[in-house]
Amino acid sequence: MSALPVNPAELLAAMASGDQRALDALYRAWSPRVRVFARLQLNACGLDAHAIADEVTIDVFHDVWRAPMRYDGRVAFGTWLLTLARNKAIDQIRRHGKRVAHEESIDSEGYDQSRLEQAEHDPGPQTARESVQRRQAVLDCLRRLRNPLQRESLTLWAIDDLSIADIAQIQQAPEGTVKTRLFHGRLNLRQCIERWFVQEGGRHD
Amino acid sequence: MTDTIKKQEQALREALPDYLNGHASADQASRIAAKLEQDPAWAADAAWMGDIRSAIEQEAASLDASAGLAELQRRLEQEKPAWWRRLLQRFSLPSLPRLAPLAITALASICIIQAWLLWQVQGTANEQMQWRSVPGTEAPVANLRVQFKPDTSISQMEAALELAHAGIVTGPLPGHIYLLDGLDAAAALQSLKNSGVVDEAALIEAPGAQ
Repeated sequence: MSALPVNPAELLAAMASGDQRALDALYRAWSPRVRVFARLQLNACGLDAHAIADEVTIDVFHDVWRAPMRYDGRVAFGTWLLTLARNKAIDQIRRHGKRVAHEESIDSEGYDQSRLEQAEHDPGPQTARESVQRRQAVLDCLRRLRNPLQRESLTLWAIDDLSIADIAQIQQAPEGTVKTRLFHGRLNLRQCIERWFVQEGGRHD
Repeated sequence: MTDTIKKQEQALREALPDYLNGHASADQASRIAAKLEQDPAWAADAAWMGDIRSAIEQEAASLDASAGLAELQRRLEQEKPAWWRRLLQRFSLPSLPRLAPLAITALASICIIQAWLLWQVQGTANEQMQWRSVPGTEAPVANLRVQFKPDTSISQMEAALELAHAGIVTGPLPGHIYLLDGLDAAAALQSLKNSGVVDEAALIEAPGAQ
């Protein structure tokens, strides 16, 4: 049995000839990024966001399996894959509606308390606990960003080291607009985190 | 002046994400690196972006792909493979030698069909020639071979032929030579020689005439 390639283009070629092991390898390598991206995109779907994001992820790879040669190499594989995920997430948002879009916002104080409390009670050194708390805070603040395109820009930037040009292609927006989204997105996120730390500091004192 | 500097600073700051992902141009990269070293606000901004990236990377790393993969495989088992994939699987490279007899037979069939078509075309051309011929007549036989002078005009040729009571059977051949059918070959030969437009003229003996 030959060793599987790790290059996405080679995996796609193997998939085209019916090699399911190539699909497995591609899924294991790329699905976490697609899932995180879809989860943050589908924030508006409320409690079902994670389940819908998982469905979107499977749909994306199912489509890739059905037509692997649709990827023509003109853009980076990550850009192409995340564009597929984005389109599917947008379809889901349209289907499910923004029923809870207004329930939560960056100004609300409703951080994900259960996850934060879990992090607080995790055993281990304090630094590790703080790291988990910070990570949760960042993710919660990211979910609460009012502007979904700022959230999307930041997620795309962080998830696959995409350039501003790549993000502009995915969002079908000028590069200048993406730069602005990234700039204001990280400012808003930072304000949210600062409020979070003030709140958490007060709780610990 | 201050506005220009502020705009340049803002443009540079907006390029920070590209710098951190390794996509900034060399010029921008050196300017941003200097800023990060000198300006604590810039360093804090970069660190903050690092926190965002780290949070998302850790979240992705914490996700287990197994359940999703199992669900995907269950879906694939339920569906029939696409026609092109079945074809590719059936005729993958290792199976090509088995196809050799089929390929040779196909090529031979194509050659036979092509040959038959060519033969058909030739037959058709002969039939057209026969159809064009006037029934009950025979093609004229040349009894004179004449070489006209190179500078002879068409009208001079026509006049000489009319005077000699001769017609062209075929020509021009190389060297301005024509084969003619003269009503009276000997008289036509003499007339043509006297016309002044002929270099050489000779009688052609009829086949079988001794």
